[in-house]
Amino acid sequence: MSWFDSLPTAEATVPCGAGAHTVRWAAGQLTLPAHPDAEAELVLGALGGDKPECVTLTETWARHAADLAVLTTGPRCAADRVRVDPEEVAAQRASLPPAWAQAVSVPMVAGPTSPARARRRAMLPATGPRIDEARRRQVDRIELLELLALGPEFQFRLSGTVSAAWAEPDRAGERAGHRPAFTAALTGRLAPAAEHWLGIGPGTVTVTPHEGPGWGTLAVTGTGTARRLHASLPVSWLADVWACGMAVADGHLVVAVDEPGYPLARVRVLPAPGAEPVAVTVRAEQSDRGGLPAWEVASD
Amino acid sequence: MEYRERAETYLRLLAEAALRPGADGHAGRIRRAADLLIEAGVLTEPMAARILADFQLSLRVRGRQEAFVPSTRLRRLGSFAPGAPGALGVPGLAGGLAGGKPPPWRVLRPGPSTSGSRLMALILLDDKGLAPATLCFSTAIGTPESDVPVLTGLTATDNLGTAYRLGFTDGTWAGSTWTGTVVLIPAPPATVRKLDIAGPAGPLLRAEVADVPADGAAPGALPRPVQESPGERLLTRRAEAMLAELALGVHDKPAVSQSGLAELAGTLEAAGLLSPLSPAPARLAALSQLLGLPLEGPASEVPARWTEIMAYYGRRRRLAPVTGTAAIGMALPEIDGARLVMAGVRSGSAGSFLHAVVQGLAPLPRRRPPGTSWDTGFSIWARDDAGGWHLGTVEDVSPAGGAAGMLRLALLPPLCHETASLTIEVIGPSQQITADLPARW
Repeated sequence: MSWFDSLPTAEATVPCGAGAHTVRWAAGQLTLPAHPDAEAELVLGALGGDKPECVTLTETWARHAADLAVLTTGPRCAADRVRVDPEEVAAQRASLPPAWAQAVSVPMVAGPTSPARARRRAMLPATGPRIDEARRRQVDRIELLELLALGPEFQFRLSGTVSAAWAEPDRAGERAGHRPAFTAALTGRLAPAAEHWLGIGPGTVTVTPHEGPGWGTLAVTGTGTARRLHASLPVSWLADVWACGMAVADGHLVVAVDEPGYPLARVRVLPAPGAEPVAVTVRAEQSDRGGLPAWEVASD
Repeated sequence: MEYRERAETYLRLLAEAALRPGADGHAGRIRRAADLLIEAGVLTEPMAARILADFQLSLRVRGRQEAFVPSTRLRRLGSFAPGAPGALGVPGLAGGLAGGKPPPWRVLRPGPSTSGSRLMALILLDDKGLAPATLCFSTAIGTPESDVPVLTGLTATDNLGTAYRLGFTDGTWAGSTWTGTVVLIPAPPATVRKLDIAGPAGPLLRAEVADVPADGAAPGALPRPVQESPGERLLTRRAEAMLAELALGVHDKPAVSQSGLAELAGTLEAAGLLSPLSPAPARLAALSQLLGLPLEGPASEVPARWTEIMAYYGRRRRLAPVTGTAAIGMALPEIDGARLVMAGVRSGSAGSFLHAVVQGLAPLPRRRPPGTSWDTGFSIWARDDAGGWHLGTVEDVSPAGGAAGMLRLALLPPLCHETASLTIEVIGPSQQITADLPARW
């Protein structure tokens, strides 16, 4: 079972050639119903043939699947609307000098690579060291904007993908080198949830990354204007809980997911600060929360 | 948690807070904080640039129209390529020490002084020798206007009969006397015992040199951790910059205000770089007050060495600087990735200047505003044999080829007597060193 089991399928329409194609996110993967053999089209593209835009988009998605800039730029909660005009991004892409536009950014951080992906990557034009750093960054930013332009449903799913990539148990060492980025990512996402949960000001929330066994810790100290919430949560919370829209379910803070699922998931919730987590089943309801389901407690 | 991690976390959380609804107008505060953390040496420029660029993009995709321009410092470093040593500023001074142990420099010290031209030290690098020296030309030949023709006519040979190609850097003229660094190519051998520099009119400098034990390392000088936190260090460096401005006669600098200092200290405290109990902010406020700025602080907090500088420059009649050249020729152990060889001192009516070979300094901006000194991130002080303290401020940095450079430090106040020794104190971001160096005039 994976974090993305708690999310329904999402679709977006993107321009491709003379028409428009559907891009589908399902079970953690971006698929292209209009291009059933996208792998072959990638190979053709690498050999100099035309590569359809939506095939390029799946490549871009894969390249940014561990890009921490997604967490820096992407939404913090359903109410945090991140809007990118696809036409504006297309214009930016078009304004790049030809050599830049063809430059393919390197993966943000090397993630687990399947043999198929490795073969595919080997056939892509040589990149990385030969691309000027500034040029690569600019291309990275345009690519990130292209992904964000897919809309909130995809923004949350991409954020979940990035978080899950970094939450792998064997990446604890790498995570340690990015503690400030994860501190900000966790704080920025728990803060609006805590406001919804306890009415506490988001500026009073600080979360540090939790490593090791257990779900983490959470404590509220002080009263009145001195009230502060300090928490320690694993990076996996961002994927398992937050990206699936279940940070707060029925007035409870969800701190861990035991059995991901959609529309039913088994989670552990905190009824109040200082309380022990309680295992409950939550049910997804349709909502207009940026493509995320709203979760209600179904049973204990 | 290390200071670097604290600083990055602080800046990221500040950006996070500024993204929240209703936090318009916080962008400027983030820029200033980034500048400060870079200045404190706890955040690299590329990291700050990345955080600010991400923040800018985050504002943009949220439709926030806050004017966001690169911060002062980052704008100044606009063409700095991350990771490219010496890419900006004085070429070749940055880097060199990070990628492993650099080859040792050998220091040779000149013998007893003779009148006229004077060698401060001979420092043997991999491919060249550096000879900071004072060359006294005949008044008929040497003038500042004819600098290049005069110097290009010089030749150098050693006691083994080897002739060297010559280069010149870090030069200044005082009448017909040139003080600077003669670059000898190739590097003289360590067995060299005599160096002759001659001009068209005859011999100009004849110096006997002797190998110094332990490659010229200052005896007993060991790096030790800096006592001050990065925040205190930054405030101390700010104070030293104010003292330098006083000495340089700069009066039109924007004054430090009480609110400006409060924001400065607040940022440093929030970033975990300054203890709320630290006396450093009060010390800076007290110095500012003594300098006539609109701040208040207890005068008792002002260190004696700061007061000495204020006392000297506050006098209507000041003691004249001593005239002469002193050879030192001592290497200091590497601290915070930088190494220094103190070559010697040249003192005259323009002031007293400590000449040093340096490697491993952070890139410095190409241009320096008039009346200011370069901030290298290090504090350098010298105490003469009468106990008088002199602040070393960077007057000039000149490339000397490769990763080495020549540092000319103005001693404030200047030396007023031929001190037999100088106690040099160098304080970096995390390490400091004190060395007693004999000076031979």
